[in-house]
Amino acid sequence: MNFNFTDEQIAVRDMARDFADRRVRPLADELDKTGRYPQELVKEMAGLSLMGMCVPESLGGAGMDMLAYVLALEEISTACASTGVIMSVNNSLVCEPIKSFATDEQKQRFLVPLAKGEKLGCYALTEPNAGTDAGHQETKAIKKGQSFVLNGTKQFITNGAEADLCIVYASTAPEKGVKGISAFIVETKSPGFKISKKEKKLGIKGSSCVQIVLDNVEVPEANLLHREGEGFKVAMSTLEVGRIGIAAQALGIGQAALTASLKYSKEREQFGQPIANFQAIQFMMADMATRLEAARMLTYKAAQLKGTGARTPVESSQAKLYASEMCMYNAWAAVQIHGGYGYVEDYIPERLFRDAKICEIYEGTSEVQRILIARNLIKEGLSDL
Amino acid sequence: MKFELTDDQKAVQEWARNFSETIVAPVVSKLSDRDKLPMDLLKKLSAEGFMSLMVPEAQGGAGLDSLSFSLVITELARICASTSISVAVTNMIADVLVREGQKHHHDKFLSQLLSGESPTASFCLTENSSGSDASALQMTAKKEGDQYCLNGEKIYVTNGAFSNFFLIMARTNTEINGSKGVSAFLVPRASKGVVIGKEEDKMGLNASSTTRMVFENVLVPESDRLLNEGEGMQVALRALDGGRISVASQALGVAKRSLEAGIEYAKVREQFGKTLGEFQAIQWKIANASTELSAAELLIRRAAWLKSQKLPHRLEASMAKLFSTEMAIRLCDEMIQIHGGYGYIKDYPVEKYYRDVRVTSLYEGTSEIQRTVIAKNILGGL
Amino acid sequence: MNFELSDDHKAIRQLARNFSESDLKETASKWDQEKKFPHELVPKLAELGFMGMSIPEEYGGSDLDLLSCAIVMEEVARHCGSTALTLASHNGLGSKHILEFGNEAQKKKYLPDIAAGKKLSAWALTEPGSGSDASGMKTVAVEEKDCFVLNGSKAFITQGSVGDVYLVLAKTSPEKRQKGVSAFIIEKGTPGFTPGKPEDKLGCRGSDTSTLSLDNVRVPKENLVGERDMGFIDTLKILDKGRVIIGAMALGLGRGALEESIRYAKEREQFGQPIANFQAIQWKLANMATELEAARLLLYRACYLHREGRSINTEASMAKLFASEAGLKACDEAIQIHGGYGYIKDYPVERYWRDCRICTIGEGTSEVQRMIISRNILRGQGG
Repeated sequence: MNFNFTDEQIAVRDMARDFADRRVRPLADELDKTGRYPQELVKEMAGLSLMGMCVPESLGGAGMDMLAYVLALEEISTACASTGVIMSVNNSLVCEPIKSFATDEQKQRFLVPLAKGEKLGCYALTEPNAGTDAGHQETKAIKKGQSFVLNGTKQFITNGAEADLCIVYASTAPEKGVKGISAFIVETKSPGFKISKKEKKLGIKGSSCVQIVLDNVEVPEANLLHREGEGFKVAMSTLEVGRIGIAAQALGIGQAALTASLKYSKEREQFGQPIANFQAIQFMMADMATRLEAARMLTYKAAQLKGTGARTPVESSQAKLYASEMCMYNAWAAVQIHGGYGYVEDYIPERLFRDAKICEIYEGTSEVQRILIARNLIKEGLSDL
Repeated sequence: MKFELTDDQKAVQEWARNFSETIVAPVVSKLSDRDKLPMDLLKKLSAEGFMSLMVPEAQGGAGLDSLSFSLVITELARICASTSISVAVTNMIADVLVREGQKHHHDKFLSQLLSGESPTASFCLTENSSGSDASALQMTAKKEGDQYCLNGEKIYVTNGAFSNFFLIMARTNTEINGSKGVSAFLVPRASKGVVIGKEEDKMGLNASSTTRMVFENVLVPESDRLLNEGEGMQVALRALDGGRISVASQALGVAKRSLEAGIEYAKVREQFGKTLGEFQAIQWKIANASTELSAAELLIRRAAWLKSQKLPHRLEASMAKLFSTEMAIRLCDEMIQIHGGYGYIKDYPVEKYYRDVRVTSLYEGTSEIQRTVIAKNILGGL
Repeated sequence: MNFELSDDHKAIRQLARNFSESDLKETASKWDQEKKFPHELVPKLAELGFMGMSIPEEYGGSDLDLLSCAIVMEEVARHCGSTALTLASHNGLGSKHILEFGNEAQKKKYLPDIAAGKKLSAWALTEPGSGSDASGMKTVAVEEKDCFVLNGSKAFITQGSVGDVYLVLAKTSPEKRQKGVSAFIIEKGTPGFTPGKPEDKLGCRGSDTSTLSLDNVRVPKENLVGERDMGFIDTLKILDKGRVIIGAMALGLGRGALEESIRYAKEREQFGQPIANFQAIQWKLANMATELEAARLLLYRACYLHREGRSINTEASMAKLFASEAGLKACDEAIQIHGGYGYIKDYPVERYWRDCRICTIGEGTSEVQRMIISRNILRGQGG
């Protein structure tokens, strides 16, 4: 076992940290207040190869390993969770499945611009009636000549308003249930592809979250990703990487909460001394730090394992579950430590609190993660470290 | 609304506290981890009226309301958790007899509790393959003329070693799988074929008798059946509504005693030149513990009050049991923590409080079952 | 013991509940998003007697007991945390201080207008440098021949920028620390007395919160409330009751979270059935319901003891601590139960969560409550 990072990973982390401090952090507040998409930041991130980190260089990416990706994503998310999720979705939910399942031709056509950040991607699985029950797809894809015609509605799609490409899941064989779902790479400017609603959210306001209506959208069969009927498998294996991404985002939020709390508690005086002298405050920060470390270990482990090409259903779920609950706790504690100042917008804890909450919900609620973990353990037993 | 005990209730509480401290305490303090409650103590409790607290005065009991009863159980539990459960279960059976039994049941069985001939009674529901899924019980009661023939095994029978008779749930209709095939019977210990099995070796509550039982062709007259065939589970569930208040009261009593010990220790033990009570970390534990304890006490009292008023209380009893038992376990655990290393040593009482209280979130309906009951209730039936 | 509400209490509950459903439910979200203090609501609140809840009838108030106030708070908060916070401060702090410690002239002068909703009251204790360490305040009041001159600043004052009558605490004898604080009535528009701009808050965005700046504010001697130097001691008595009120607010928000969750869980289907069929969801509902019940009982107990004339220092703290934490947990779980929809402003639960977050902070953080409770217990008092 080895708890050291490679030189390359350290370099990536430092680069991301510097970018986050210089460029992302100063804009985080404005993005939250205005709900503006950080176009300029995404462009710069593309320039730094952050939008397709694990895609091979030959295909326009940075050719990094998954752990380097996690380190970079964590740094970005420490400064701004919205920017973090934009990066995570493009990398984990769009580049990843195309990298794993697309034909060479598709990779050239789609993966290269996505990895280079020239195009932005999104992932459309959730529907109004298919959240946790993701397999209950109502969107249909009917073969018509050399195309598929897609009809249906997708819900809560991150990056949906700005994306050029969208991986859409639809049922090509409803009678087969989950085994009748297929995945398509759809260009968002296709006729019939409409953004029908832009959600107003509790947090991560700088990232768009939209409802999409597909109204007879024609998708050439050359855009079918992997085989017909294998769409759900694509979705699930993609989520394993997506969950690592969200875990990394949660690490960032949790770290930001701890950093803010440490700083404030040393400066703020009450009863004639810094509140950092009081055990009640010390204990909260100790718990924050410990849980953050534990979450890091779980996330890094999942990333490391995923990087070898293995399936990581349990590890990804554990990392996401634990890290999201950790960052919610840390954000809550940060508000509490800041007292009244934790409730006003001049200080960051209240934004962290609002941003943290989504981590326990999207890419599989904590409940889903627990079901997956338990089901797997019951079937496979405990594995060794 | 009133949050004050009546003078009568205070008197009952005082009486129970007195008896617990002067009669029960000296006896139980001499017991080792292997000893069961002495028969002598049980007979004294019985003679004093502890085993028939809610039986109406007209029938020879103390005629206490449920709230007063809850106070008694709490006081007993402060001194000895094992004694409190032995008393609670017996009272539960006495309650069943009064509520569901007819005169001949009273003459044959209730009288034994009133006279002390049977110092305790027992409730036999759980089996090897049916705990939470209680109505899946498999013990059979086959009708043969004007009697029933009982066959099967029961586990986790409290007071198994002490009771002269048992309330048994058995399946009279093997065609029906669930609760509607179950009936309730009263069975004397002396009946042929009744075998009291081994005492379980438990984590805590060691002085309380917890046995297995085997019934081999035990003949029970039809008249010793309670209510009609198929109504056994209802008898059991109604009994448990009150039983849950008792277990909650027991957990509360143990928790109170444990908290007292923790506070005492915090005032006395010094480290870093100060008493532990001057450190926020310890103050926090005490604050949290006492707040939750108060909350638990109020939930229990409200459930007991509703029962006294003969109002529906299944939801409230479940909430009280769920909250109080989980609170008590957390609290006893924190009191060990306050004692540091000494909390792990048997010279100090806190480790025993934890071991004794740990079962309370398990028996008479696990916390999981309580949550199911509560959820179904507030969802208004799905 | 008796766990039945009296007919009077049931009636006030119904009155408040009707009002909450008809006047708050539909507009609360708008006030939250527009960050608007709903001035238009004040006349209706006054008409119902909610602007002078514990003020005696002789001054135009409703003369409600603490339990009734808690009941009203819970019902209001059920649909609108902002309105609840406004009422909590207006009734429980500013006007309460004048009511309990003011002289007859002061009561006659201010309470009727406050009860009628013609004047909004605010209470100013907290400062930028003194929150939990309330007695560490720096605002001073220097006594001159015909007035007191106040200098300093206050922070996080509810109704700070929309108030008309302010109860301000300042040091008249700084060397005596908490034994040297006095309370003063300052009216809006007094020269040198300047409210700051409304704070941008996480929640309760329909409630007004701001700083106050005091720059040589000349306050007439007759505006001193209670005895000189006794202001802080008096304050502690106000806060006991105030804690019950904030606890009731949290209870209302938590109950709202639970009710919305029950409804959603029964309607929302996944895997071919209502999610209410799944144990994970049932567990959350059961926990929420149980803890809220316990919170309610703790609050009601404090109200009862207060009515009996007993000190509720420990019991009020316990109730506030428990109810605020239980309420917040329930709101958090409600979002979880709603899944993605819980994060969207079309549904009210994210607002309940944001509104509830202040409850473990304002009127004494949970940490302060724990300090009070443990100190009393270790001294052998209360619990």
